[in-house]
Amino acid sequence: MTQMSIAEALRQAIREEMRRDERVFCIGEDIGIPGGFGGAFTVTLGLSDEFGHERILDTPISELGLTGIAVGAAMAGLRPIADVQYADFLFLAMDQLANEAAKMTYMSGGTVKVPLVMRAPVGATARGAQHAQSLEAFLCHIPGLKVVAPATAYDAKGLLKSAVRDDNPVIVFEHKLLYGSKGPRTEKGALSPVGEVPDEDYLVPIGKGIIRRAGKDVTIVGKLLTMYRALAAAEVLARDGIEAEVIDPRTLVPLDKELILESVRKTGRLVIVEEDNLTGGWAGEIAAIVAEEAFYWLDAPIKRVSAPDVPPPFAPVMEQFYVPSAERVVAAVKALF
Amino acid sequence: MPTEVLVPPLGQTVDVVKLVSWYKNEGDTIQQGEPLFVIETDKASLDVEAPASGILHRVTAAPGDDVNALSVIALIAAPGEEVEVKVQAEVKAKAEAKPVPHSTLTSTSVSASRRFISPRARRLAEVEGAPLEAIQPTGPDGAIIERDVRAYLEEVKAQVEAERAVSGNLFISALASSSITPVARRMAEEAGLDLRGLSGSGPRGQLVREDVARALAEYERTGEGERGRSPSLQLSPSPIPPFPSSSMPPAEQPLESIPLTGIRGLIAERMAASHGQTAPVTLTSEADASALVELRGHLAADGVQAAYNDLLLYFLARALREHPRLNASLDGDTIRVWRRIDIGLAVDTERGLLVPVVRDVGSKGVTQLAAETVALAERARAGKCAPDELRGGTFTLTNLGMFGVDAFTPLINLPETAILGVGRIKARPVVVGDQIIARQTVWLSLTFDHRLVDGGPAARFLQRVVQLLERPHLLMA
Amino acid sequence: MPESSVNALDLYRTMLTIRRFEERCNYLYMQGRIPSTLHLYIGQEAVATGVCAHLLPSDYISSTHRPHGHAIAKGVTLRSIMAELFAKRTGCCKGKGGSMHVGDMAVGMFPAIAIVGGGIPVATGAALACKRLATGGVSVAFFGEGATNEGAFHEALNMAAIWQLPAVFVCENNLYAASTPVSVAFRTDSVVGRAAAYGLPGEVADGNDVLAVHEAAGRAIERARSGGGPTLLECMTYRQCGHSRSDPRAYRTKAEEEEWAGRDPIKRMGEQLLAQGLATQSVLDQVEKDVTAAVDDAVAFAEASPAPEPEEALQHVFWDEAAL
Repeated sequence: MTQMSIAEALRQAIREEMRRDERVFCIGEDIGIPGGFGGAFTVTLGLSDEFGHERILDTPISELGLTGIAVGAAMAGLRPIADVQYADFLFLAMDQLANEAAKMTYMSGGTVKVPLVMRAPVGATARGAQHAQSLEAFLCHIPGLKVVAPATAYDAKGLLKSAVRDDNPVIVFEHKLLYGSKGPRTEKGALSPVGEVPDEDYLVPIGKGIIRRAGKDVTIVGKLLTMYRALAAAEVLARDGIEAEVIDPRTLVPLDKELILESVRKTGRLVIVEEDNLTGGWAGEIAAIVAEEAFYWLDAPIKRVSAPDVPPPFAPVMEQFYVPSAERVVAAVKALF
Repeated sequence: MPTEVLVPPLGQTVDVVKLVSWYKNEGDTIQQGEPLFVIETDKASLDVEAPASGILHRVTAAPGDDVNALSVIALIAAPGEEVEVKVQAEVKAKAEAKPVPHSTLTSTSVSASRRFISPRARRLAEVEGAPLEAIQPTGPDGAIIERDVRAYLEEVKAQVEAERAVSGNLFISALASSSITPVARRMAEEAGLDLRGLSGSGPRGQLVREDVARALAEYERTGEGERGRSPSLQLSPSPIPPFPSSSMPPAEQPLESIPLTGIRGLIAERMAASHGQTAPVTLTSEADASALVELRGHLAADGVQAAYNDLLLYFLARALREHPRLNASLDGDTIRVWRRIDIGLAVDTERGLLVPVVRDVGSKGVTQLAAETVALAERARAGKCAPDELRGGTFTLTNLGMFGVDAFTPLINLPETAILGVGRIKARPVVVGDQIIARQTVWLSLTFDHRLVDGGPAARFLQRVVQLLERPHLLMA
Repeated sequence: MPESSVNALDLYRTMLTIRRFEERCNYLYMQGRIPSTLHLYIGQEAVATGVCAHLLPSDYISSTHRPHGHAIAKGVTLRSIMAELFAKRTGCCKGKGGSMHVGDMAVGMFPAIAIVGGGIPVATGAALACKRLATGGVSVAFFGEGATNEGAFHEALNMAAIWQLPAVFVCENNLYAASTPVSVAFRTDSVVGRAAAYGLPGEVADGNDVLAVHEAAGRAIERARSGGGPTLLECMTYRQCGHSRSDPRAYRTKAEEEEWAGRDPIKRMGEQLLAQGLATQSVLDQVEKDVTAAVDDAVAFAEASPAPEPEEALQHVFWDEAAL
């Protein structure tokens, strides 16, 4: 067991998978440059020392190109871990993710596989609207992609390893404020959860969520940073006699919906909290599933706590207004009683 | 010094009543003598008047609460007078305080006539048979939510328990001291145990402490009591039963779900007891009613408005004096033949069958009887009979003639010996000599408990009633 | 230098197969027996044929929305392509892909990618895999001149050059991207000049001369295979049919079409074979018969094949080893 930050856990996962399987390699910008950052948030720091520059492959600024190359390489027998420095840049790569990676297996009648991993950091961090989006919902909507969002060090290592071993394209969303990056890449205002990570090989299965806190009065579902907001809200609510059950889905596609449904059947109330704009956000999908499949167990309307329908603002006071806080979650829960 | 507002004692034996509603709220100005609140027990509800004038303070009982007789539930103070905090020990508190409901209305407005209910609450109410109209909403947007349904179900359960305790206590208190020891009596009362049908192991069947303890243990163990005790409502524990996996509600929906509580529950209990415990035999006899009809007409002509029931009461009183074994009750395993003749008159009301009792019928003339029965029936229909007016009869009269019924098999009103049912007065073909002519006739149906009296004496009693009815001049003889 | 007779006749046979196949598809489409529109390769046969003649099943190609010629040249069976067009379960994509996505990994052709330019980085990635896995294989990307204006083209060529990948980028410049002539889409006269911008060699070949294509492609493929890095090969050619089946070609002149028809690659090859004594007319007639029979066979197979069950739409979203 080792105490690790999420960045360290991700690095460890990549290291272990690359040692385990010759075909695994990383492709991205600034990931292996000697004296460089090790990727935008230090995740690949030091790996090129062990694996060289062909397996930690630095590219020019070409998100579309590098993603397409990763797709072709995956179809031709390699197992690439591609990454973009900010999830916002996924839009540049969207054609290759949505039209190629997601569809090759299907269009070929199941004769071609695309064992690709694409890592992307999300979350607002006072960098302005184009380096701040949480756009998991876009990727969740494309059939043929799997999407995971680990929020703890344990899950980061286990899920990334599962993603690498999966024969399908898997998008791994990480949160900038949860990495725990150190040195010059330290994030201001970061949460940086540190956790116990087993040293040995282990996997967290794709498609299984987890209950972070058990409760009987309300179910709160949150992902990445907002999962921690939900936990903080649960502490406050407990003082007022409301016991919240906090669920971390960990995988967004395929969703562990039975975990959420079972919880709602018990509590009768559901609040979903996400750092994403309200309209067309991921929370709406969860709400629709529960409304469809657990309607008669609901004792109150389903509530979404999301960012407002605006681009992420820069000024810290506005950003704090934008990102759902624990207080907003508490207020939303109380309104259901 | 503020005036205490007390729950008045009702009847000689009633300890606990339900507060139905308040006519005034805290802070209102009250006039002495005006109706202040309503209480109810068993089948009777009463307005209670304000004992003083002033401002109403410290209301400590809410609608639906059970309150003890003679407990203080409010204070009336002069305007500006200091009202100190008083610890209320007697009033039973309600469940834990509900959190303040928070409205989450956005753009849609809530129409006053529309009730909202959460799907979870609706399902629970359906499964448990709780009527939605009876449930108080406390959820956001004025919706009924799960806790409201559960609160209602708890209330109903408590009500059933209390009523059973009350009716059980009524029976216990009617027992003579030779039938039950003081210790046994107190034990039974405290536990709200229904002793009807229970046999005692003491001398001459006296109920002793061991009998009550055994019955109590039996009840605790099985949840069922002696014969005649109604089973408690099946209330489900916390988890809601699972729906079929398609998550659709059941296709079969009752038109209405009426809980077997309150008056209905008591009637159910008593009828079952009567049917189960007695050995009922019904004798029928057709009487010539011409004289009866004529008699009523004569009385009316002289300003005495009497109903047929009043005349029948008069006849019954005479017949019962002559046949006292029909004016008796079973007490444990002793038949008590009563001195006084108190006849219960069955009244059909909205809330169910009530049987107010006319006391000492033998000492009253028809005029008085008529006045009393009118008043009693009115009070019964309005739900305003005192509990003492609804118990302690020695015989019962029930008339279904106005519904076109001729003969029927009335059930004995325990613990009495017999009950007389009267059918309609109707012109029927009758043989007189060799002729068939039309005469007003009426069918009398007498059900008697064959455990307590035999067919011969019962028939002779009925014969006498028929005789007096057909030839009322014999009342003078 | 003329090629050996067997080789040249094979090239002729392949081109004729593509031509007759495409003509038949057009006919079947006009009869309403093919449910989707088609992007036919008529007139460009020399490019696919000349390039793919050098490739092994372990070499990769990526193609475009106009893939039938590449598929036939790479070795995908006529039956499996025709069945796919007929939307049958026996199609090369089990009816899941359709005309624009035909391919067969067994012979090294990715399901064709209909996003213009989308296949270029994919082929580049396959080249990366060949190099890393040291298979000795090469990866060829086929695309039109219109695709060279997509960002994906530039990013892929740049990276192929940086890493010296075993890739060949074959640009079929048929002068029109849908209805847009090159004069509207380019300031320059041709595409080949773009190669130098990224540091890889570029060549131009007559796309209607299969021997010229064959020769130029041979050099590029050999360069790639031996570790010499990528090449951009621009083949000037002409699409004799419309962009798709709903294209009346009003944006081209009759004169231009007639001029290019005169340079029909199959006619030229046939004449050349006869002139150089590499085949007799009866040999060519036999080839014609064989090709017709093969196309007939493919159509009969497609028509007799079962259609997929509607619920099969739900399958193959994710990779299922067991289902293979």
